[in-house]
Amino acid sequence: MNIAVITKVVPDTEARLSLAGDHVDLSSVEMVINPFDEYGLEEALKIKDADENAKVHVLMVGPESARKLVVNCLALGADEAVVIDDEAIDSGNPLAVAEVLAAEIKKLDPTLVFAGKQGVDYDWGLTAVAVAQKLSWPHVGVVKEFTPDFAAGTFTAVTESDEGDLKFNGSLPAVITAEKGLNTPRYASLKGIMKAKKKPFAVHKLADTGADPAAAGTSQSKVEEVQAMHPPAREPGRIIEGEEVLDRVCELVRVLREEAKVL
Amino acid sequence: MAKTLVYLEAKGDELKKISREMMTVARMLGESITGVISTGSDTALASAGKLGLGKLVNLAPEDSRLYAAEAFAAELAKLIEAEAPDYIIFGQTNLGRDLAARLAAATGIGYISDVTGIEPGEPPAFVKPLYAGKIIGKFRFKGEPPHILTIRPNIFSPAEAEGAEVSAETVQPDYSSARSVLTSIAEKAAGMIDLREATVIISGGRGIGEAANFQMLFDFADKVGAAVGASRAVVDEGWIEHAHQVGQTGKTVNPTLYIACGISGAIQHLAGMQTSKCIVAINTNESAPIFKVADYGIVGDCKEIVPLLLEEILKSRG
Repeated sequence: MNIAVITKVVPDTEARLSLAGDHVDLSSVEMVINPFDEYGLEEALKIKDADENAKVHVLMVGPESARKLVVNCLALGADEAVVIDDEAIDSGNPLAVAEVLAAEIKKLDPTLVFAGKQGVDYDWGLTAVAVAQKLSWPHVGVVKEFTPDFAAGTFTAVTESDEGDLKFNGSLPAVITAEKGLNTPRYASLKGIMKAKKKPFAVHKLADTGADPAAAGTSQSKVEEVQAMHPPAREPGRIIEGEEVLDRVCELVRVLREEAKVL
Repeated sequence: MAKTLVYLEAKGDELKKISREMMTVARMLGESITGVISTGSDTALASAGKLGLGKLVNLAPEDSRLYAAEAFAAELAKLIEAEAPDYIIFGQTNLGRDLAARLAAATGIGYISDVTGIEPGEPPAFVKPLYAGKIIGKFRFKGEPPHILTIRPNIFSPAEAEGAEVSAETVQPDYSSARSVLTSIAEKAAGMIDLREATVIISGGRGIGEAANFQMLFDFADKVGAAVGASRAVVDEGWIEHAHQVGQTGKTVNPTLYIACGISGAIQHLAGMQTSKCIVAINTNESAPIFKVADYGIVGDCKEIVPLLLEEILKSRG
């Protein structure tokens, strides 16, 4: 049984971002594996823990320079990695990225595809759903509990919503996108790190994938980014002073009512 | 004048507030509005019919088949074909974003998610937070309509009902081809307010001392009518469930009042709450970064201050 895990690299969530002209400048920002993808990978590794015949494949459309981050996925226990690095791919267009990923996934004929619920960069939340659509598979997004039944070819998945927990029933194969809390990602062991160096790691060009070059290319995007800006800075606030704690609390309640008018 | 299609949402017998917010956006973008909803409640359906729609379609849910992205996207694609809307508007809610994404993938229609602002123009520009709000991005659709967008809850003012009342046409979605189906909803405990829809949020970080002290925040939330948030640090420590996390790998919130208790203010947390109208920070460390974004700060111990604050707020409300 093959399981595919889709990942991407994003700026570290602790990073401050700066602009170059009208767009974000990522040239000196530390990149990490998209945090939500870590939960997708862990879910795949849990299945591998229970079934030694399961193979976990990590797929990424992104720069080969992120090799170290992908090798760490192998160190955690994934079996193989494919990075698709080609400037001809419109990596900012989720549908183009999905075209490439779906082509690679077809070759693996997997039972499950995991991904994070969204990239913590542009937060489109579209790529993995589009992979499901291109494969003609079902998907469940933002999953916090997942229970596959491989013998029956079915699964249940729970997602959280403002109405309460939503329970989905579905059939395999399927694409599942992970919410934080789905599991607790493991750390790489020293043994895992040593083994990772010998695991298959391929770097593909668009032509290697079998994807439709037109659908993956830059001419297809129906959305353009006009400008990226910093959010307006907040006006400096003030520290409420007062002799006793109660004085400060009373003053706070007064200003919240009278100045800010939020109570 | 442009035509729009809105995917309305109801919770039980009530239309969700986001439905009226979508109406506001629909009126900004066009004149004639077609509403689509999926509800088993006649009361919710009647409320939707009074919003000022030209047409209302109910994708009727069944007892154990409440929603299926594949089936609903197929029905919407048919409606889009027939109605030719310029904009298709969803809420950035769990099911709204799910259906919008599947529809965009199935039809190839351009999609902008989580919109927080619209700048009029030909064509209009859509503003959306990037990197959880560290950056604001301005986008335009390219090419011919239709276009799909989801709007963030709690940003646009809810529209009042206007115009003539319409009755709903029922469409039975074809669930037979759907291979992933919403079969049940475990409703939330009464009184739990969703973070993204909360007017007041009281949030806890390491500085509250220990997991048990979240009870103090829940008491506050219960009595004031607030939701409880948390920093990533305490979620990772297991003090509270991830559903409460505010920040880049949690929820982005924009309440009227955000009270940060014992939260130092890591950048990934600030990104998730800096659009709150008024921010109060309570922290023992007077150089904590949270004070830089706070409108009001109190230097002191949350364990002492929160119960006093609760008491004084209740007193002030009489």
